[in-house]
Amino acid sequence: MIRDRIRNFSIVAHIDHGKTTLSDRLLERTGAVSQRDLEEQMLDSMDLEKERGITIKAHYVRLTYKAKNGQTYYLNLIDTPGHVDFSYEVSRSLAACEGALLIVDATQGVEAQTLANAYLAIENDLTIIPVINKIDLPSAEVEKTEEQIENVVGVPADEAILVSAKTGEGTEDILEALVERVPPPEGDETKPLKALVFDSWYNPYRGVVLLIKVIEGKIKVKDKIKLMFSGSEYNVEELGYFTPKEEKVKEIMAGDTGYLIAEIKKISDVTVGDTITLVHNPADKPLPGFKRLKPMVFAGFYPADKTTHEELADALNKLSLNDSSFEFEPENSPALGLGYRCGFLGLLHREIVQERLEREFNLTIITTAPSVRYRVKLVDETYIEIDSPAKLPEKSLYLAIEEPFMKVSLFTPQKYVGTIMKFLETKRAIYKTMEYISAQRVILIYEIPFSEMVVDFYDKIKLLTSGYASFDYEFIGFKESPLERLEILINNESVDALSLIVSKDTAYRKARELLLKLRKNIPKQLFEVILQSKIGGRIIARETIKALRKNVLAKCYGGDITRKRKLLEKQKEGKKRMKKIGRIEVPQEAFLSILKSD
Amino acid sequence: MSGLYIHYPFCNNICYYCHFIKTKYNKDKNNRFIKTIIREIENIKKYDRIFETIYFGGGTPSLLKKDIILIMDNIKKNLNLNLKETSIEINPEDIDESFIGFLRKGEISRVSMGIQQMDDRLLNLLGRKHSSSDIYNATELLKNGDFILNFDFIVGIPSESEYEIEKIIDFILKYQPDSVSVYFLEDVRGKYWERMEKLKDEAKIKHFKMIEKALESIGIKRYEISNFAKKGKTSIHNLKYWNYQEFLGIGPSAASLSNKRRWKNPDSFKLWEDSVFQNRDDRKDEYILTDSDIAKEAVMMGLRKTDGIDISVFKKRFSADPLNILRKILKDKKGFFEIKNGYIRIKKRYLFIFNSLLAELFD
Repeated sequence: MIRDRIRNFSIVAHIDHGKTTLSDRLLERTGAVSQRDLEEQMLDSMDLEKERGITIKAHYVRLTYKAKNGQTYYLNLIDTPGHVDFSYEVSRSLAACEGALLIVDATQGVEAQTLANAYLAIENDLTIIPVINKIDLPSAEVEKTEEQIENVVGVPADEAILVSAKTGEGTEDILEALVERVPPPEGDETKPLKALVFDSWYNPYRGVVLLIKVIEGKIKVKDKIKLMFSGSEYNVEELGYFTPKEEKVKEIMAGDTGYLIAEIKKISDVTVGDTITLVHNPADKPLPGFKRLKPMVFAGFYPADKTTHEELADALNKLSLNDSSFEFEPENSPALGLGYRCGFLGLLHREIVQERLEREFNLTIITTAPSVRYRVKLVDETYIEIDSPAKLPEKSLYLAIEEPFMKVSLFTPQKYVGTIMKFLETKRAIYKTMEYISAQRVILIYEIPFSEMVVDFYDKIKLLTSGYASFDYEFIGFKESPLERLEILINNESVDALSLIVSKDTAYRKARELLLKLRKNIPKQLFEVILQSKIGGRIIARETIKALRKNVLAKCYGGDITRKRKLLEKQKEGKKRMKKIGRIEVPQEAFLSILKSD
Repeated sequence: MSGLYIHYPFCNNICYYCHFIKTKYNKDKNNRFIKTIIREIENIKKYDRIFETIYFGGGTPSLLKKDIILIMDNIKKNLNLNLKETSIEINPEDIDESFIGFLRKGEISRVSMGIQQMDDRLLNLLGRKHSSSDIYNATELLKNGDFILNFDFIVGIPSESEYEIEKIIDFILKYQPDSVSVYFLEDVRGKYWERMEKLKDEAKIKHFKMIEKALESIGIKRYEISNFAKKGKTSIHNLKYWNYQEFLGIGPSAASLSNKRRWKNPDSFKLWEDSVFQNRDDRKDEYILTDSDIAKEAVMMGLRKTDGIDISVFKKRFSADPLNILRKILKDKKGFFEIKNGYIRIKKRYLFIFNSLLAELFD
């Protein structure tokens, strides 16, 4: 049976541990791509992904490998995103696999995402093949890494394959291990169709493309299919494999993976994790594990130039075509004008969307400080959810505010534990446990209000530990907290886009700090600027930015009109990223600075 | 009527603050310059202009010494002139009796001396090679020379205090020049004073105003952002820039404005030399100006003057209304301007924020 010669596997790793390079080696070795054609890191197709060194959208490629036993095997490599923002997508991709290569950088050891992804793989009952990468580097510590894999991940160290994705050493061993150690997929072709959607994207020419794993039964071209959660029905137009070229097939059988094109118009019509079945012979129940993702982080996106509002709307629409987890709705800010409230899976997701808007659509965006979703208990004991501090009702109208909490697992060398703990104290974090994974490395578990993490948490942790700590987080629920709204006034006018929901314990201190930050970030203007902060209707702090005294080019040989004009134009360019509030120009940094810790 | 600017690109010493095109002087390069500039004077005959002013800028044009006479002779021989002013920038250390003789023979009428500061410590900080006593010596020689005398100063240097400003004022009051320029030190990257604490804007302005007040007391009035003069002694050549009148520039990097075009000569000495001898117009940054560009640039230049822009004259010359050009800016910044007796001007105390006020001019 052909199914015995199929292997569905994934590669999981912490960022920069060499996943993409290793994928390239496998492609090269199996002849999917010749050395000459091999574009650097070809599995990462978007520019942005290349630059960030992560793979945002899952991809898949079918490799053909002739093993030492003389048989030809089909190795379906299912690539997964490496970042915590996309952990649901990762879990669905893993659900399509029977095995996983767990890559650990021999110079770095086990990191937060190594473990998070390894646990996801274990939860999905995958056979794990540990791969220790970068053994060619002088700083490689193979034994130490083996020890960590055994202690922390719980996989015997002697099963680890030693490779250098860079030189290609060990590639063959990996391919053999996939054949020998990963079990072939199970599944009964005679049963009603159940296929898992583990990825999807929008192609302007083909409509929505789905990646599927057939779990039971088989799917054929022209089949009438139904998505069991969404309930919508389609006709199968095309099935195939990516090798990585498109290779059309008539049917895909239980155990195998491939792509599917039906006449699906919008990415939002399909949700990753949904189950495909046949309209005429449906399965009795869908596959487990389906979740509808809700955005966790929100921010206002406003065009810096009002006249590009339409273009922004258009760009957001286009982006959402290819990103079902990204949401937006119109928002009208008295201070910033017309814009959009956007919802993201996490912090990285927010940055990626903003960068794409600026790079691909050439827009200049002013973003407000990111916010989380709060649950507000109203006086009539009903709840509303708000995703922006501006939406918090009057104090007399609510009883309590609940905020989302995360369980954060921090991996750090032992010597930074004190520093991290001290930092977390300022973040209202609740200590849970501490475990040693080796004599020098520790896992700290904390519960932290998500609002404390949304701005510079990552940067701060990296800074405090010289980049040695890594962390991962998961949502654990809403908890009531003593919170209130802090308002900022510029020249006596409340600026909604600068308001914050803060903890009562630190509100006063924050109100003062915030004004200092704004004073630093708002350049001197032609007019005096008065900044005030207000809590519960009372002004509690005030700062003044004196009017600009000097900005003139004096020493310039008179005839150089070009230079004079260029300077004025540069002056104007500097204003592009500023938003006018009344007659005051507020730069982008000011909006973000309010949440940053010093 | 045109102005002619001649850029002399050599200095004996490179001052730390200067961003003009210049290299270190040597005799050979100076001779190549003379040969080339004489050729360029011939080349610009084709514009068929009458020149009213000539201005030797640099660099350090006082290093030309007696070659000033040679260049002036060639100008007189080749170009149509109706001269009202011939200016030269000079450094105090170059001035002696014989140099004054060259200026006289070259029929130079206006001398602008780069003094910068009167305090030796600050002069040293700027990288100037002359001392305050050089300045006194040079001024003593110049004051009997029957030139229109201009002093150039730079204020706003890190560590500068009122004490040093008083020195400048004493000097001005003693010699009572015809005109004075006071510039602010610009932030030049990579200079060692970057590591020094910058003078606060408030202090810079205070120092400027101290000098301004002293100048007023002897009838030297501010007529442009950085320029002051006695009545009738304003620079005719510089006013051409601010009145957006035609000028041609020769020498490396020199800028020209003529015939609805604005351009610069090549910055590099070699490229400039080649283009002159092959009589090619290797223009850099050439702009063909639309009527709207011209009107806006004329507003930009005109508002540098304390008198501002004569609205009716402007309308006649440019077929555009300056108030209309400034419409958007005036909407919320009217308080910074003054519209009176047919003129529009930036109020004197706001000339210091000229760039911020006019940022939206070229929208």
